[in-house]
Amino acid sequence: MSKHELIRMRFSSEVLFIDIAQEVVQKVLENLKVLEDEIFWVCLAVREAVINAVKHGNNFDSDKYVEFVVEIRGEQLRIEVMDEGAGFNIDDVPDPLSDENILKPSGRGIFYIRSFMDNVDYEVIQPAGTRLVMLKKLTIPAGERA
Amino acid sequence: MNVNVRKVEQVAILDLTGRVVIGEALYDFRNTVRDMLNEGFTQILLNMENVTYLDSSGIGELVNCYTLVSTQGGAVKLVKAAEKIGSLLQMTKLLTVFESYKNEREAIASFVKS
Repeated sequence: MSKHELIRMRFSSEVLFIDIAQEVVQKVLENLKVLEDEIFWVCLAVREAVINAVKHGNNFDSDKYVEFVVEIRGEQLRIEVMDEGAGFNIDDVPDPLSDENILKPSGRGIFYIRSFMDNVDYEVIQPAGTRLVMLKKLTIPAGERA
Repeated sequence: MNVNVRKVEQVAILDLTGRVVIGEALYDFRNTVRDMLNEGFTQILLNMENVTYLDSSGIGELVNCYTLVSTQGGAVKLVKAAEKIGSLLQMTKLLTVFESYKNEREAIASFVKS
């Protein structure tokens, strides 16, 4: 039977918890012996997802919470990040690679998330908020698989 | 993140150390850049050698720095960016914005030419 791990966290919208969420995923992936480079890029995607929830979703409002779920099934990583913000339409997010956006100070987070994860899905949830689900097939050396 | 300033000829070199990520430290960085401009230094070299991590907020602050200095007729360049940090900048076309050098002497010389 393949390995199954599940971590659920709920935290207020503070910068500190961005670091903590990233570190949790890093520890989980290190424990699974995932390739070092892959850990770096996946953790960056996780960081960007939580930044978006804390900053753009909940607007650093410490009365609003972020739900964060990390699930491993075999070599499949699933991360879920939910905020309590106003929600947004993913199609309205500007392309950071367009000439007119290159010098904008923000707007790269979702691009990085999509670059480093296999599947990324955003959904507006009721009564308020956005749910991001992202998947990644992990690269675990054959001798290290559970 | 910590920022240390060195001045070599007309170039202000900002040695960035640690994680260039979302948080209060980014304001310190922005203020340091403003201080340099107030002192008349419009040629800014960001030494990335000891930057251990960079996220999109950190990248946004580098872009803010570039815009601020450019509007004063100056230039911002990078030196000794680690491979992964270079990759992040490359992916979002920011290496077309920031000139990036492997060694400091070459980077300083490039300001004189520009």
